[in-house]
Amino acid sequence: MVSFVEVVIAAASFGAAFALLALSINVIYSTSTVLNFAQGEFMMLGGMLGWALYSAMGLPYWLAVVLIAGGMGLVGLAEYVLVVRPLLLRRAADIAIMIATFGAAYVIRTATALGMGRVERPAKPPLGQTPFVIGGVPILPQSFVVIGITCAVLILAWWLYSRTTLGLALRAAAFDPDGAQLVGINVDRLNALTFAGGGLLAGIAGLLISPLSYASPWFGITFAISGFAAAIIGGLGSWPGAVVGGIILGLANALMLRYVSGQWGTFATFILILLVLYIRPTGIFGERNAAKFGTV
Amino acid sequence: MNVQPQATAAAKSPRNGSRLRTNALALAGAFAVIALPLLSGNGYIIQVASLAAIGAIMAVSLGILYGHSGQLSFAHAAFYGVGAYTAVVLHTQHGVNFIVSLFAGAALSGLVAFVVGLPTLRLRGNYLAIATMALQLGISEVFVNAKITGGSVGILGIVRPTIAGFSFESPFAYYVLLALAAVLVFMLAHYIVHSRAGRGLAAIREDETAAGVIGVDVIWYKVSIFTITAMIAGLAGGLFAYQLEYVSPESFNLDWSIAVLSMVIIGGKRSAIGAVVGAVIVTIVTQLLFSVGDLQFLVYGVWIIVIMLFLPEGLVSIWGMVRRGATSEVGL
Repeated sequence: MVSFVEVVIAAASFGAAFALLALSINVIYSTSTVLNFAQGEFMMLGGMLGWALYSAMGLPYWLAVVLIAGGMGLVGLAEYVLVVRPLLLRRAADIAIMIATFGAAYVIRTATALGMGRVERPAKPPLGQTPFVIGGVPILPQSFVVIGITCAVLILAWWLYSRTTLGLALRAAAFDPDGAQLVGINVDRLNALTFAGGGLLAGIAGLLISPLSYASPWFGITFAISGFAAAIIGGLGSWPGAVVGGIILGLANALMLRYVSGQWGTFATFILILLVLYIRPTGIFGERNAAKFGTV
Repeated sequence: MNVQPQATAAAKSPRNGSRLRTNALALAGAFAVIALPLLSGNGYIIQVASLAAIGAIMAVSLGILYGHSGQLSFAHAAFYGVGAYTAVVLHTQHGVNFIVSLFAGAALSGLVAFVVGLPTLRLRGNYLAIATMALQLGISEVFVNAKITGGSVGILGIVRPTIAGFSFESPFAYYVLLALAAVLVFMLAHYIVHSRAGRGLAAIREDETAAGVIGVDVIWYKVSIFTITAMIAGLAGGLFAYQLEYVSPESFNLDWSIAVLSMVIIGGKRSAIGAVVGAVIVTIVTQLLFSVGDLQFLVYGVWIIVIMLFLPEGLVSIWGMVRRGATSEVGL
């Protein structure tokens, strides 16, 4: 029983980080319908920067968080301005944009490996390694950090989307980009903003998850498939979907790790995708509208 | 032909004659392009040309699946890998006849594609893209973790085969075999695309629901073409293993799937000749990038971005521009 509770807590921690990544994928996707495959690398870079700023350079944790949020926002913005925007302006096919975002992923991965070393780095958890024991179950303090910050970010994002004018514009652009443009919303600027936001969220997700494993320049692709799997399991573009998809994926990962082995994580992810999408081909909260499949 | 059903045999024959001439010219051109690397007598050029031929097989088969039938797959490298490992395990490790091993690899790739294709191909668009990506990474995981594949080390000690008493051990002889395979796959692609089934697949690409309404068995067509193109990829994988004489999981990962997709896009998605040209370009660029060492993948990333920026519709669009330019000059 105790080991099962441990698995659930591990699932919730990983699930929270995947939910953040899936959220960052949806933030970008719902406004521009771009699947940004560089987002796994954003998450990886967030973890690596967390290691560099907090573990290696010894900056205060809050400062590391602020620097990573700002820095990753700029990375996301740079990807939009240099890679995605020129393609959107040319009305390039979705597949060309997808492949170009893989190009961006290669650039970020290689630059990180060259700049910060090709090895796995142990990231220091901000609240230490000593587990709290609650009801006989040892819980890593980092689990509280991950779950707590994720909940805070979700509430903040929900407030931004549902209670502000900016949120209204974002929802309008997601619903109908051309119509939004017509009523005076600058969709190009919103796209730029969502890429910055996507970079920020994915970077924070990486910072949070790195003390639970390692930080490594090679983790980006694993993060990417987990985030995208969570996003399609929940339904592309759906916010509750991102959270539910993240938790399902976290649970599956934690169960695999505990009861089978760590070697078959992605294969399990694929099976999970098939199982969920066999019942609902557009994800749990996805719209059952053919136009929402995307046009690749 | 369909436009003038009542055309007489006499009216038809000159057109047939000109088509014959075009075909003969194309054949001669293809023969010259294939023979050129052989004439160079240079080992490095033969190596690059061999990889280009394998890339061409991959790009032509993914071109049928994605460009012609509209089913985006990021798992092509996985089927390539299944074919490669199967051929090596059967021929090199168990002494089975080379050709038999090659086709057994293709068959196993097809079997895997058939089994996973049934549930996967229910998905469409972005969902299919992400699911096939997970499939690719999952099968890559099998290559790394399984015993029979030699894990992350791979399998060494592969020697090129002798077929019917003729040794293909020299890379030059083996290149001829690869070129022959590429030509056969190209002809097969042409046949599939222009067959009745090919028209059904084109209908599925344009509108799945409408294709179903006019009587195309959508799921059967999709699974069949997924299986057939996976078999071609498996064949290419087996041929590749004996070109390199070494197999390891790195050769069969997502990066290779993306590279083949970029070949298809550079070639203009629906053109088999375009796919071959795309394969040649991407192979040469990738080989040249080996010289920049650590920066290889950084430059590769920039190259992918730049090629997508300037040729999002592929090289065929340049050809179209040139043709339009030429015709407007003549005043047609």
